[in-house]
Amino acid sequence: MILQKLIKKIKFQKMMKDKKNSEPKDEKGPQSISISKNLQDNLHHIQNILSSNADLIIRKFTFGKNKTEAFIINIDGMSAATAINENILGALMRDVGKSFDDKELSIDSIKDGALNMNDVSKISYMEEAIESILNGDTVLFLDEENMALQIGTSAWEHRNVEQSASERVVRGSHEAFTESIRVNTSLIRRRIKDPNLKIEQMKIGWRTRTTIGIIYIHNLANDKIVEEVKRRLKSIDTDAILESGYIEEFIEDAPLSIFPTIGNTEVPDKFSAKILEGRVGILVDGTPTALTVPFLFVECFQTAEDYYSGSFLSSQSRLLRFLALHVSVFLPGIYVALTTFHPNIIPKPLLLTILTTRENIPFPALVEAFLLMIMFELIREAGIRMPLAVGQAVSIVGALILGDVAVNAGVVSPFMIIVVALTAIMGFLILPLTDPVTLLKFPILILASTFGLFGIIWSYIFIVIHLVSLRSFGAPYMSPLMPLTLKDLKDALIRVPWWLMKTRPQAISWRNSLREKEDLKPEPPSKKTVGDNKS
Amino acid sequence: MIKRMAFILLLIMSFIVVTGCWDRVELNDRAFIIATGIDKDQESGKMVTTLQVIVPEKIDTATKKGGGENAAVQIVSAKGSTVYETLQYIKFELMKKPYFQHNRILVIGEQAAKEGVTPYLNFFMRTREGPERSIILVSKGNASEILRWQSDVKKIPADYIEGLVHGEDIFSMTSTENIHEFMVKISGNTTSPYTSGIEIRKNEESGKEEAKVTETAAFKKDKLVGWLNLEESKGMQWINNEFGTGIIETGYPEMNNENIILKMIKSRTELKPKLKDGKMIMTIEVKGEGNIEELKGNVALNSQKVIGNLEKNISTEVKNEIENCLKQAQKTLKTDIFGFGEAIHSKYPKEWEKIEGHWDDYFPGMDVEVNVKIKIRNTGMLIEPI
Repeated sequence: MILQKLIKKIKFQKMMKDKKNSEPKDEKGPQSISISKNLQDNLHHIQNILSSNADLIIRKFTFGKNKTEAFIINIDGMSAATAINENILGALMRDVGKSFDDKELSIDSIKDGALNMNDVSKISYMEEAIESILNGDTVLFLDEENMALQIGTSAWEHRNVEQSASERVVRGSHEAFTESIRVNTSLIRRRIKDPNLKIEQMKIGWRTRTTIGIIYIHNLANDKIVEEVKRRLKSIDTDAILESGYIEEFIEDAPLSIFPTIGNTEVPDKFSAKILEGRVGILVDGTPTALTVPFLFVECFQTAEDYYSGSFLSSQSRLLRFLALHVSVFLPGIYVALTTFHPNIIPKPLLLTILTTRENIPFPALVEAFLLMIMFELIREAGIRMPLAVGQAVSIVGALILGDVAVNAGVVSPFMIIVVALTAIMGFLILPLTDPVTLLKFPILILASTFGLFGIIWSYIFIVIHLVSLRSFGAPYMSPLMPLTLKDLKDALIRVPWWLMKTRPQAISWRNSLREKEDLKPEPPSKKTVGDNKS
Repeated sequence: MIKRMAFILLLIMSFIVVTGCWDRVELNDRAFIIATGIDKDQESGKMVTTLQVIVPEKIDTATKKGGGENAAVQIVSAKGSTVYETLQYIKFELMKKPYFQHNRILVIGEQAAKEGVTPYLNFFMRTREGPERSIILVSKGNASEILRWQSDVKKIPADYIEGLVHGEDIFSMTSTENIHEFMVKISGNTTSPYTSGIEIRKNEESGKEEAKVTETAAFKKDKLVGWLNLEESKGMQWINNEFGTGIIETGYPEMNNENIILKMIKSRTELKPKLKDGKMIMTIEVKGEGNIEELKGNVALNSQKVIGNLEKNISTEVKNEIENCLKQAQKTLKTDIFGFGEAIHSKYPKEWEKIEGHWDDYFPGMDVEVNVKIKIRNTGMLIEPI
């Protein structure tokens, strides 16, 4: 019975799929229509397409000695009103009559001689006009011309450059990207003043027409990777891109893997550093989160500040983060495995302590761990979703009071609280890996409680095999650890001082891999000169 | 794709269904045994197993204060014909699964030891969760007395006894072996095991009962054959290269035999068998260095001569200890607890083949040469007497 139903369902789904494929795609806006010579026609046409739009401004006017008819059209709030008033309307209505002969008056002469705006171009199709209008530009239609002028006046309200909420640093730039792609590209340009820095642009999404920037340094980034990024971006055929997360999921190498194969950042200095290592960056208009590819596993352990503060401490912090990853994924599993399968390898004094705290706990260790971990995830979710003021109350009540009372009431053992709390804190240490860490904890816990240490070892092997099999835009995900690239170990689990950081990561790009000169180690002046100075 | 998913699903299902978690036991359901005692019941001829089990509620921790004066252990015992059988009765009593891997001491009653320990140790070696690393002790009297004794110092009496034995080890008074070492020697051909003896004595002054490690139990194969007193135990440690950083206490003849305490910083013993006129002679070479920790007499340690005298004196003392022990082992107990047989075997394998068959008769009559060379490294902060 069930099987038959299942088969029916599958057949139905297949049918739907076929139907979908045969259906024509949603219309992508108006078809190519040329701009007509009749001004009224053009006006009607635009009014038709952009009907019922309260923010549309159409200004009809006449100018010159001949009273040439024209109108400009723009969207209120998306364009700079002063520029339109002064440099378009003002220039045409006030100045043209003085300096132009009416014979000379044409779309070219207006473009070249009348409009004191920097971004002006001719367009000849209606759909171009519509797109520029929706983009905040102003379009000027003239009577008796089958072309129109697109004038770049787009300017809209956007957030200022502020501190990043998610990637805070003590030392280093505090600037973060904003929602405006233009501001973001300027932030990068200001850091890399290299003519080879290329910022290519394309639009994705039939409805949102989101601007996507592809950013790389021409002779550092691998051309193949740049091409591949463009190919994958072009193949995205969807109606809306609202955030870079959309792009990320469309172009990922391993879409079913829980590990990230595309990096993201909110801060321009980190972004620039990645570009300078030969990576390709992707900026998406409307979001401060930028993407970088290829993304390697070791990048999860790197933070911007590692490169700004001393190399010894940075190296130690990186090793700690590496340890934290293991702790946060495996600790609950190991605790349950040891207490239920292998109490022999717990040292006796520790065992006695665990024994006394666990004596009257009503649940098996697995259930106890599960309860606490789910409780923690709930508190965390509540803390994030709640408004800031309430969020703190939630975390205090949730973490402090609930934890304390749970121990006192004998529902959970204090040891398990230590284990789960440690796991949770360690999980936050490695921001890019929050997803896999949170997700992996549970299956590993179950494996540990059914197979003991055996289960943990197998899950570890399975995870490593999976990681090794991953690739991000052609780069082996686990490099430089696997395959081992000795040169790149200088900036993997440790960070060597800058004067030793001679080459760029080999897994990303082989071109121009030398990034500094030899013998940059600062040294005191030679002994002789020191002696001279003393005398 | 569906096929692959089904395969993976099947694999996961089989993981869970086929294997299962058969040896998963929650901590609360385990009885952690800290000490085990084995006795032979004279009347019935059956064995008695006594276990010291940890009672977690009574242990002091940060979260649970108090727990009274009582020891944090529960004593259970059962009578039966095999260890396994007695454990079944005990399981009933505890309602928990006995867990032996944290067992620290195994006490064997004198009577049981005399009749041979192999039948009892079989279970402990065979079981998967066995206590191979726990030390063996032989009690004078019944093992259950030792287990029932309660310590004033520690909540877990077995901890106290373990500390006592290890403490004795540090001061080089007796030697202990764990179950594994013990069984290796029993299953070998020549060398016999030994281990510390333990007894409960009444303190004359306080009137309290105290656990004491006094003598060393010497075995022949798996049977207890006799005891070595403290002096002889020391000698045995010298021969077995177990003296380590022990303490030598000796007198200085020119100074009214006042006491000198020498703490060894290193010591090394080599057994060197020699073949002389078709007869085996064992040479025991002892070398060591020590610091003078205390010198009661009025001696100035300022000349090479005095130091030389002292060294000679100490060496003689050690030689005496060794010879006393040899006499006891060779003449009285007639058991090779030193591994002489092994030493000959590895150096003269062909001759050994001839001796091997009648080693038990050969060993007591063997000539042994003892060479001791002890040096004084440091005399402490004083040179002149006070």
